[in-house]
Amino acid sequence: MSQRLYNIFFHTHTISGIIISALLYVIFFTGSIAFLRDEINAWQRNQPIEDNYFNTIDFDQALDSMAKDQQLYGRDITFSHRYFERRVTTSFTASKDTSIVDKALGRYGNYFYMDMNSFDKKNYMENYSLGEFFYRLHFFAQLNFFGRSGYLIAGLVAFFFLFAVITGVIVHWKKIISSFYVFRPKAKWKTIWTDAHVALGMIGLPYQFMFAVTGCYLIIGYTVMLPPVQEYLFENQSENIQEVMSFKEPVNIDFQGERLQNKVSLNKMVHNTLEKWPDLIIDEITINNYNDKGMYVNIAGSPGFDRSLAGNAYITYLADGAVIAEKSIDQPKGYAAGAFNILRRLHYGDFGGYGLKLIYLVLGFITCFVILSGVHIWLIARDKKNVSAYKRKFNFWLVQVYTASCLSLFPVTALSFVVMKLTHQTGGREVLYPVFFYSWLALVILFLFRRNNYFTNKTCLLLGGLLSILVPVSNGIITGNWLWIAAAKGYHQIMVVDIFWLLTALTSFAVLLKMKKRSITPTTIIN
Amino acid sequence: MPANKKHLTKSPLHRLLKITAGFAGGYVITELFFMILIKSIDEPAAIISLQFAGFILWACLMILAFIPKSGLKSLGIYLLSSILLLVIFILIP
Repeated sequence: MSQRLYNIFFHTHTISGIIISALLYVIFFTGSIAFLRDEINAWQRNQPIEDNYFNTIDFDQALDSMAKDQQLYGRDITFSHRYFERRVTTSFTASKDTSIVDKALGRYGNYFYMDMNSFDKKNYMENYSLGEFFYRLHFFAQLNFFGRSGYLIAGLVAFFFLFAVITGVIVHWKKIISSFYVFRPKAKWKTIWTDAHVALGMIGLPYQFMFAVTGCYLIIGYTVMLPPVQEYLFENQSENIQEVMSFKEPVNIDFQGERLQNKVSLNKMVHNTLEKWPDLIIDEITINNYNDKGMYVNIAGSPGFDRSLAGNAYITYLADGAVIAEKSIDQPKGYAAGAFNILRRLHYGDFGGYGLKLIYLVLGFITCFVILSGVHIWLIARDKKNVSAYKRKFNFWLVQVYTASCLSLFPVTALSFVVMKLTHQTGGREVLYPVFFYSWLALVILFLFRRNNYFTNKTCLLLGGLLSILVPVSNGIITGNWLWIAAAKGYHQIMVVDIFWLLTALTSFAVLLKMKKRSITPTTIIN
Repeated sequence: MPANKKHLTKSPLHRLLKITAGFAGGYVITELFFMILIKSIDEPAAIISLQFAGFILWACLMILAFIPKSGLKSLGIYLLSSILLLVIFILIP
């Protein structure tokens, strides 16, 4: 590669990196926390569930409980277990019998979360949780001020991250093997930042590339990539694309307008399905035309990850139990359906149990480090006499703001867990939003006054470490499910969250002990 | 260590042209390329490929747009490629 091209690609890597860095840090940090989304919700609500919970639900009773509030006849009803929680996403359409008119249901009236042990319902806001918060902050749902603006920002950050990953590889290509082994912790700061950035960037490269691509796919794969396709190839009808991409045979049975004489048992259908495919983990049940002569039920799920990564299966029953369509658990999936499932699994990291999630988590935090070290290389490489004073001032403040915002996320996250536990807040945003965002703001302002990396780092580790220990402690005090009791009772979901915070605390104290003493007076630009 | 300025594009206009060619032109080429695939081969396979591999192609096209010295050349190449792909797209039954 010529000198010219090297410098050009190097510059595009620098500029794309510095623009997205702080946002990307937030995405990776909260995304790493969100690997434990469902466990965090089980922890927060003290509602751990067993493996394959959805397979064991009493759906007939769930329907009976729903029937108390509204007539279910002629509706399409969906139970979906996207998140591994006791509360199952439940939705229904208006009845196709026009004599059944719904009272005003409110915004979330026909979309709610049903606790499948107690059968009580929660709307989206009541169901809002810590896990949901970090999961959604991970793609900036909180920034959806104009339509889906937050998602678009997250998507563009992911896309420029992909750009930065590829240009990074191009720039480091020549020395890619030797750089992998180089780390000189005793050298000057610029060398340390560079070595850390390159070596850790290399270790995390496949992981980061995969996340950039799957992240783009999940958040803007539809909204950015498909509009022209829809417009010119599918007569501008989104239903046409969805039909092609549903990977299900269409069932053409219409609403008949005649009620069934006997009650249909959903539990029996689930039972029959599991008898046929014992390895199936059911995650969705869709009922069409409930209790009508035209009623049919689709039961869908996937085999466990130890059996197939790309697999999914479904079976469709008529009301009398006859099978009208199915895709077997053993049937090859083909490229398109397989890619659809694998892209998701790769991103969520749900294909290897907790061991894999731990590796994902560590790599996620390593990526945070790569991002921040990149920012510091950027600053230190521009902190020279030949750079004009106002530019240096701008660079200095930019990096101060980035560092303060990124590092304070750790104590703020731990604080949110403790506060939510201690205040018994099991749902809603009323407490969570102010606690998280105001404490974040307060810490950032404090660090901007001190303007000292050593002070920022030390305070964050100390505060974060102490608060991390308080997470399992607060859970023990409030629920009585101390780590060992949760372990004895087999509450894996709760245990995992407690262990995660204990390990985090230990790590931050270990780092604190290793840190060298430095001055904590505010730094200014060196002249 | 910052990139050596003497190798970078000096004119802001040419920079803007290159970024436009890479970002907008890259998007148009990606879309047309995959729309040709959707028309000519298996529909779901090409659509899902566009949704993830499309981003890789687009990012690479953004990088390639920086190679020519003149921004006009970048934009010209991307424009001609788009027109060529558009013609193919229209010609496919």
